[in-house]
Amino acid sequence: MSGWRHPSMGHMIDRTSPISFSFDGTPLQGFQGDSVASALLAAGPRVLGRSFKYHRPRGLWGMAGEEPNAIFDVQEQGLGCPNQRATTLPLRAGMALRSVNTRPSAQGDWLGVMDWAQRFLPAGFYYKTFMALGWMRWEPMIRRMAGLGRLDPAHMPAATTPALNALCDLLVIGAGPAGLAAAKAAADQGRVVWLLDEATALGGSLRWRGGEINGAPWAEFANATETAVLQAGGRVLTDTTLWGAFDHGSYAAWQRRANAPDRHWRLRAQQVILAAGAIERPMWFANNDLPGILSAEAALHYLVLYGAVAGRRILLATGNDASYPVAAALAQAGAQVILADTRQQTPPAPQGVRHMPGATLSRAHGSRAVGAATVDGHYIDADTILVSGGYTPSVHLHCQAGGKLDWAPACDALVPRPGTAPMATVGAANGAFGLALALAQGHAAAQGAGPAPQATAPAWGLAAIRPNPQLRGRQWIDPQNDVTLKDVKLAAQEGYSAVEHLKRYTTLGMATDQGRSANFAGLAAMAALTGRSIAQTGTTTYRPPFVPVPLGVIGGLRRGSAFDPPKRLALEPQHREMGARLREYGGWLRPAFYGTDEARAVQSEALIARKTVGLYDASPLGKIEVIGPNAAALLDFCGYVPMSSLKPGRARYGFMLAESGIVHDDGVVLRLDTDRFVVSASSSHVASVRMILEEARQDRFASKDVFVHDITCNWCTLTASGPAARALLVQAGVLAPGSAAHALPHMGVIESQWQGAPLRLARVSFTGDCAFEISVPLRHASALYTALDAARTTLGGAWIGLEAVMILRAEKGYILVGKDTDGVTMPHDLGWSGPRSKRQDPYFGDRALFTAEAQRPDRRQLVGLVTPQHTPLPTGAHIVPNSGDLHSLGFVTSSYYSPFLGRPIALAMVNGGRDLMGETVGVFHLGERMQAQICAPCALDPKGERLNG
Amino acid sequence: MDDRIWTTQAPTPGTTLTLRQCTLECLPPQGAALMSGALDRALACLAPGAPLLGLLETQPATGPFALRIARDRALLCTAAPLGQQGWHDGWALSAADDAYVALHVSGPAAADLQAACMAPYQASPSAMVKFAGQYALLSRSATGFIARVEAAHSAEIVHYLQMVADNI
Repeated sequence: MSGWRHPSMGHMIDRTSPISFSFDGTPLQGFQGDSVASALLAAGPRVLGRSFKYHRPRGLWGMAGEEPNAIFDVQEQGLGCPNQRATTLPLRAGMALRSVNTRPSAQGDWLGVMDWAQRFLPAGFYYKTFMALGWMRWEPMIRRMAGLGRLDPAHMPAATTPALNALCDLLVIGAGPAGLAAAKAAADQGRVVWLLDEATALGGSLRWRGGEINGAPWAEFANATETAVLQAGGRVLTDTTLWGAFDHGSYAAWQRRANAPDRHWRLRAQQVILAAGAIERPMWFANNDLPGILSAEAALHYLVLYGAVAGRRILLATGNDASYPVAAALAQAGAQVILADTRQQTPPAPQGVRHMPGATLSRAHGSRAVGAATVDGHYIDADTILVSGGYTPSVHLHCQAGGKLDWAPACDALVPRPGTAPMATVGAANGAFGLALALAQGHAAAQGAGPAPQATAPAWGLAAIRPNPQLRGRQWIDPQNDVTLKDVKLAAQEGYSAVEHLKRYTTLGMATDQGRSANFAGLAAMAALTGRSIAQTGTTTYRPPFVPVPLGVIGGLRRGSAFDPPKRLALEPQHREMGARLREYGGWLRPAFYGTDEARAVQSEALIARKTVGLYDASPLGKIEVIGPNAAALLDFCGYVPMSSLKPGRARYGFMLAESGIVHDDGVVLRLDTDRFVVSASSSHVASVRMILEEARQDRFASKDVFVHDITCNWCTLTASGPAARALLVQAGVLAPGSAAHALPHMGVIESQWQGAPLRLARVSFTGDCAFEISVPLRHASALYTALDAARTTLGGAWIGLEAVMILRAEKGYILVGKDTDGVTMPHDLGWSGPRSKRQDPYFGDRALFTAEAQRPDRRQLVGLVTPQHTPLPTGAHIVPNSGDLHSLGFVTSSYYSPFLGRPIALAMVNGGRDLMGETVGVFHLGERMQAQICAPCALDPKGERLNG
Repeated sequence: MDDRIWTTQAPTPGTTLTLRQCTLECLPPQGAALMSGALDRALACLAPGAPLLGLLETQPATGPFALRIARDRALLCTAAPLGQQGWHDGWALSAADDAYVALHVSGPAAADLQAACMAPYQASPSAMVKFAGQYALLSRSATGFIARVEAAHSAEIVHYLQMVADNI
């Protein structure tokens, strides 16, 4: 317990509003305005988590997204969210924080014993050891032990994050000095600027380091910038992390809001300026992962903003000028501070600070937290070690956008190579470590008018600091994934010297902090070990997300009923009122059956439809109008069965093939006039059928002479099927006895009027019975339903769901494309070989029907199955030889119990099936071999006598 | 997944829903027809003087207008259904009076709802755009915008707009 709260510092917190929260079950207190990290730092607990592999105790390191250790599963108000970073999470009353990768708590993790076995678990241990013993045996155990955070379905966060799209003239990422200068310069010229920052307020490092711009406190400049941006029609978003740069200039940003749902922004901009700052590097010495070792910059951040002081006896190890104000502020706050600088030439020591120029920190001492340190061989008592190993420009978004990097020795960092990404990088992100330079770069990048904002703060001096392979003890390169300098050496020894190989062999930089604090050290160490420069060694690939983004944010509102919602029938309320159980069929929510007992309802509906009349909603069937002088020619080309010979007022069943000759869809085409057809595609294929027609229209035909209109949604289609179908329509007033419509023959179609509404009547059948499809515009759907339902009642008919329709069509051997066919089924496999053998004109898919594969005699063909059992065969079961060895001859595609026939029926695709009529085959399912006899697909009324009622 | 999760109903024509900081009105059905081919000739024949509108262009308060879908395709919106379906001299017409449901969103949050449902607005001669995940024709009214969505998607889109408005 070394952190403490300064009595007066910390302008972000409201000391009159204490907040209670808990960590691993221990009640703690912070203040309104605290971040979780600042509250924990001030409250004192040091061990906040455990490392991924060795379960070593870990404490707070940073102040933003680079934090590798302080990660918690958070529960509040009954909702849970895993793997939240303490540094970017505002403290709220009642938060329950639970450390990740700990059993049972961070303080007392029994898996800490893993650290005792560390010498047997070097990098690559898994790949070598568990492969040899059989990975599958070990995998479950390893998976149980691995992973950060716990998903808790019982406390799943609500889907409340809307995704918003926006466009602006200039997108400025980061509102530190460089970003502010860029935004103000652009806004002053009237450009629409969006200024984003992941912190809760504008200013970046100015917020804790302070400074003057144009001779006034920096906050005045920040306020003026915000005003200018808003006045020019732009937006200023704080608590907003731009987490990904994507193709074609698209960016994603996650905005966190207090007392309101988060927002997910999809942004596009004419110009982008990256001013994301830099991240302080750690230093490398023995035990540099102990809790109580923090970034010096972070310590200043917590002190100034929150009054949270990192420790009482502080050793600050550095190699740059930026740490001197940190030491001064901590000493002024009342801490004992020793400043150890690797350089001999340093700025003057701050008042009250013990200064050690030319001193190197070699070891931290302590078991669960820092207790002391060794500097140049001297044992120094310290409860906290602050370190600054230099600064790494935050170039992630530049690289995500395809940008390259160059080594800049002056700032000891890789910086963006200008012109390699569709954005300009300025400020510390560009290696400009000084206020004046940052302001100048921001102003210039936005093509600011006049002189850049002025500041007097000098640029920082710094010394290059690297991991030292000669030093004894474990030096941690990647604290979150437990990668040490020794692991990097091992990777180099084993030939994994390319950075991408190093990353995968050691897992360096693969943790949720994306190696922000680790990658530089890893590649610097590898460069040293292989005698290459850092530039030659290169970096790994940067990919989104910049910080972990909750999946709830990315998924947005599209969860539950909003995830892939089906299309809805106009008559859905009526179907529901009749007790329909709705299911998704071909992208539409349709009645599956009516009632509660599915098995009984489906059988009853199918039987009634055969005996009297069944009514079902066929509105989803496609209604694609093909209009124009070339309409018949287009349909001939796109269809397997020619339609040009069809007479107006008639309908014909046909197929549409894919270019590969595979059956893509089947359905009926209605010819309403010489130059007007309606293609009745199956409900799930409407869009693709329309696309095939449209593509052929535009590519092959004089496109001004034929047009394709999908008007499926304009019509409600109800189908009456059964011996009493015609009587039902007469009773409903749809058919007048003696009229042309009343005498409509099978496959006839007529357009007329009903109760003043347009009506289309088609005598087509998907059941083998006399059937009528009655179509009216949606606004008349309810009236049609009422009329038909009233007639149904008197005739003893029933509304039937799709499950009953499936039985009726299977009894007749009518296929359902995609269910009774698969990705290799051609029309002649289904018994439709006429057009293939007779057509001379070209049509879509024709050539594929004559390949050697297409002409194999043993292709899978559609057949029926008769089983001696009383129960239906399992759909999907393999057809196998009746005896002997088991090899698949095909499979059952549809299988039902037919209430009308009083026996099971089935359809199957069987190798050379049509030559096997009458033969007995095996039907293999879940280890059991049943018997069935191959027969014709049509099990009912093979002569088609029922079609006429 | 329980299929009964999709319980939101399609909006009844003429009803108005009050959402947070905006209203969503389902406009009563009028006349509409898909026309393709020589659009100028079709418009001259069917609705002389009717404007052909692109994305989020302001539709007239009264009188017919057309929303362009593609170079040679548009949805003609009229006060009442038209006849004349089929092929004409260089153009084709199909009745689509009930194919689309017109959703009028107005009020202070209308712009936010628009931003949540479609890509950032950029002028386009085509009024068709992906809106709340589905294709829709968008025009502007005096107080907001009107999205014409396929009738089968209207329940889903209204539900989505409600969710957005609740969480924006």
